[in-house]
Amino acid sequence: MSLKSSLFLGYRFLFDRSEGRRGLKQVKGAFIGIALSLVPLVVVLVVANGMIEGITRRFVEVGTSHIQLKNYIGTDRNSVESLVQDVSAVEGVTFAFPFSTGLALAYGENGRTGVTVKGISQSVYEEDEGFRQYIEMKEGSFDLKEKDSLLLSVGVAQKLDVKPGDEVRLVIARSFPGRRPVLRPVNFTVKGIFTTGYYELDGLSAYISYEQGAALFRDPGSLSIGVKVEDPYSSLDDITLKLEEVLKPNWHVVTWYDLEKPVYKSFQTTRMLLVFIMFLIVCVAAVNISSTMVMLVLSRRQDIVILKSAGADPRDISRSFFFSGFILSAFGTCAGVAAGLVLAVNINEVVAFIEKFLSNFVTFFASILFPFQEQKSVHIKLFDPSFYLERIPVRISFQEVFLIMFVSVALGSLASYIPARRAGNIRPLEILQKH
Amino acid sequence: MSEVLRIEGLWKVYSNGSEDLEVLKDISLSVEENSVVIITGESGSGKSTLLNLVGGLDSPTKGEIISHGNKVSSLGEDDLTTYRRNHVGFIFQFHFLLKDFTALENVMLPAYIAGVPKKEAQRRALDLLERVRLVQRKNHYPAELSGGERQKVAVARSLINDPPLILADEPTGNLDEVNAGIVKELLFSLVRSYKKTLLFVSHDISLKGVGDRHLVLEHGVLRES
Repeated sequence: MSLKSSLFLGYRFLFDRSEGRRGLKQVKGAFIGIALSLVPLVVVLVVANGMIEGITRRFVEVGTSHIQLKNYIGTDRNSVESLVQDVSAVEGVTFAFPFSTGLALAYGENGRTGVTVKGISQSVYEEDEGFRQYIEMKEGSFDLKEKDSLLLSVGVAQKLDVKPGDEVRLVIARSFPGRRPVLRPVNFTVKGIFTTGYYELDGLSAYISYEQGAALFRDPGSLSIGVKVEDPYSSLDDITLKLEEVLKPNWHVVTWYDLEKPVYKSFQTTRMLLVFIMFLIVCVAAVNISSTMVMLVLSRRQDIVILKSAGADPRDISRSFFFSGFILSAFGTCAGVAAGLVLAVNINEVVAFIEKFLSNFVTFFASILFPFQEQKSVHIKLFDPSFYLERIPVRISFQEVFLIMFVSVALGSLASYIPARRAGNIRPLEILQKH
Repeated sequence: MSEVLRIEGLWKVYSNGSEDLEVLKDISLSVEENSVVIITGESGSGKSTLLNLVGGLDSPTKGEIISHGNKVSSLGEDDLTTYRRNHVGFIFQFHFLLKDFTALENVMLPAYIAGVPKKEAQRRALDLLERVRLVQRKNHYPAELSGGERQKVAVARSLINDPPLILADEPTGNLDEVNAGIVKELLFSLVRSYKKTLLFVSHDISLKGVGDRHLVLEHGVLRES
């Protein structure tokens, strides 16, 4: 029997078209099973990729930069600025800027909180597209032109209960060798309130002008250089070598991956664990395919006799049933992956719908259970945006989607191998004698 | 005429623990090309067993079956498949049609299995359905056909690969008298017109005199009528 004939028979075994019959229930069950098992896997993968990428990009573009050039012994502004010019000329570097950083205690009208202060020049916002992309001004504007300019992240602004135009005092500790630290309070005017969309950055960050930052943070290692490159997610080894060639003694190249490795690794591990758990569900669905194939073979015993008496080889019969399993897995996989992608792409809308539905449901039941009490409408939040990104990002890696499809179809086909072999070994005589 | 089938000293014994059941006892038979051989016998006399052995669906305990130069009893699985595909056409008592294949698909299936291109298989199947006067029901499923029509489809199917030997195991056993007559008449006329050899087993003794030769199988022993 040709491959085409085997495929034809395998397909027809699955789809019963005779009058009054609409196919084996188990076949439909196995199809739905494999499809449903893939939906969470695809959603988890797409959303996890999106979340990791969303968080990593914010860290990399706003927080750490792609690469930092650090001098832990200490340096001065002139050396840093001259080095920035040299670094900017290095092939592959798209932008370089000096910055100063340190910790401070911020006092507002009605609160205080610790902040990570970064001194950068206005040009960073104007010239670095990556930085600008993830800084969304909620109030005021990105203005670091004045010496007393201060930009606060939403979390810090909320804690201090301040708005643009308000005054905030930053208390900075300066240490001197062999002496007690000296606290220095400096007053700033809030020029704008921004969000990066990620709670960890939004809860601690504040920006002041580069000049003011360099004047305030004088500890060794406070002055550094931020470097942006063309592709921060590919290997940074080459560019690191090139940068090391132009660096002066005591300067070190630190990539974003070095700085955020534990966080990045923990995200990747969580993602792998989730994918693994979801993959187990696919394995269960594959076992379901195997049992469905056993049922299919049982229900097709008479057909097997007919085929054998018509000259079909046992291998042809096995191959036809193997194709049945393959087709079933392939159809289920395609349906599941398509449904998963649709769900993942619309995950924000789906979550919003569920939240709205649950909120209305709870409000409605509360009004029935307590009819004489004044009811406040309930707003249920499934995911607290304070701990995640404000909007769940999605990133479809077609490479991974195709890998999932391949593995799922392979598993389903593998699961149908033994029932298919058994189908080929059925002896026509046993069935004929039963008739 | 040349010999198309020769059976020599054929025994079939089923063992049931300590007890042996001799179904066929020392059967010898020679069948000539293009002849119609009717074998009658009561239920349980071994008729179906004999046909299953000739068709390569079962293996004998002892003896030889030689069909078209093939020693059927000693063929391996692959050769048996080829033998069933090219040399034998089966018609069973129960029509044994694939229930979710149309009449046309059922008839063309053995040709399709044998590697005949779909269009050619379809052409042959339509031609045979025309001969059994069922071409207008070609797209009907077995459940939509009457018992007689189903057996006609089975007859057409047995001829699609142009096998020299047709094995009919009580093909009219499940039909009423009128339909049984129609199917028998159709089968004999097709066998004659396509120049096939027919081995027809039945419990119906009224078939005596219909074929070229009539044999009786009684308690596993075959004798001329």
